[in-house]
Amino acid sequence: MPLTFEQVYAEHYRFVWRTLKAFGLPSAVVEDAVQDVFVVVHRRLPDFEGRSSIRTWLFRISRWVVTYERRRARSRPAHEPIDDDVGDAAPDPYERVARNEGLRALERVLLRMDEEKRLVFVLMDIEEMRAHEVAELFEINVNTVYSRLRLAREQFRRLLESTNTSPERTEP
Amino acid sequence: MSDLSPEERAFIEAAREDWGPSDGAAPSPPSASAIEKRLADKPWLALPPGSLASEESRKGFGRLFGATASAIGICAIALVTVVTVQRSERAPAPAVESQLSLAAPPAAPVPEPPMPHVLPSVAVDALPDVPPTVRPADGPSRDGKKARDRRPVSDAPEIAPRDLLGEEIALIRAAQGELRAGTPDRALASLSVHASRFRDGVLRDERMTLQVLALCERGDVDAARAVKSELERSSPSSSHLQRLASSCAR
Repeated sequence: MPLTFEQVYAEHYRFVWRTLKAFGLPSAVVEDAVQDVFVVVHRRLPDFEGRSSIRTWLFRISRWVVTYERRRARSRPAHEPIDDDVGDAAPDPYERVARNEGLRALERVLLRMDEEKRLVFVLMDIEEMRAHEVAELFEINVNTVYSRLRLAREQFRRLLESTNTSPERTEP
Repeated sequence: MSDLSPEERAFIEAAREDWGPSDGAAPSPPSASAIEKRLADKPWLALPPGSLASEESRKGFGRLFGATASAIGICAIALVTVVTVQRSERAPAPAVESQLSLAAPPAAPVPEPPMPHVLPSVAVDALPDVPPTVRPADGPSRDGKKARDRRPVSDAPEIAPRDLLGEEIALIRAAQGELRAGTPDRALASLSVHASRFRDGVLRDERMTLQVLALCERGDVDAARAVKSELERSSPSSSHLQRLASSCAR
């Protein structure tokens, strides 16, 4: 039974959103980028043969959209920051994503992590993807995935502790 | 493996439940018209995913190839200079003629067969849209932003896809014009060129739609139906299929 666009949209919208956040896209552009990803999905879904998992396929499209988005961001004037969330520790009632302190802390920590570690951390510890899937995505072996996850968890722990003690501190 | 503490595990499990879009759930899927509009604003979304990677690798290969070619060229010039000097020292003789004789004579132009004149009967509204051409660099866009916001970081990386897209648009526009002018054979010829150059191009669906209409115009109903079936198979959700509902291939 082939997947319909509506199915993929309903079931994987949040996965795409989280993936784009894991790539470090700011909240201001992530919703727009999600729509870009699903435009590609809409066009390409008939070509999806199911040889990889749908999440692997969506991740690849997301990565492709992020690459273009970054190029566009680099060409923008300097007053438009690539990421407006970094370093913003003050409570903001209009922050769309951080609905409570825990989520705000999570976002602050993720934004301070190295992208490589953040992606592995989000995909494995939050999205619960399997190591072999992540290995396939990054074209690395499974041992390297586990090694990155270990380093990512260590960094996450350090940053979470520093966020809890002093929100203004950044990763040394 | 650095195991998570129970507190960290609880923190992540809470995040797993709550972390997501601000409204907590996926909004309604975009309509076909919203998708078309976004594609018109961002035509690069219609490129096959992975084209960026292949473009990057092409650029890398291009740089490597360029450097290698330059090195070979310098060596060749040096070699030719040395050989020429040695020959001129021994017995100077003209070698230009023999080199010239290696060049093939220019091919004679092939006369184009005359096209049969067919009266147009396709409604203009039935023709598929062609994506807009690239806007002027500083002109205002549909959403009010300046077009320069859509410029690439540097001109070089975007030249290839933009040129290719431009070529595709030109071929499809030509076919559209020929179909409007009531010359479906010419339209099919343009579409055939597009098919050979851009088999799975960005405007593949547009090409197939025009092919159906041109074949209908020519009275070739079976071929039109075959192309429409292929379009239905390859792009079942294509909005162009609606446009073909009133064609001979319905």
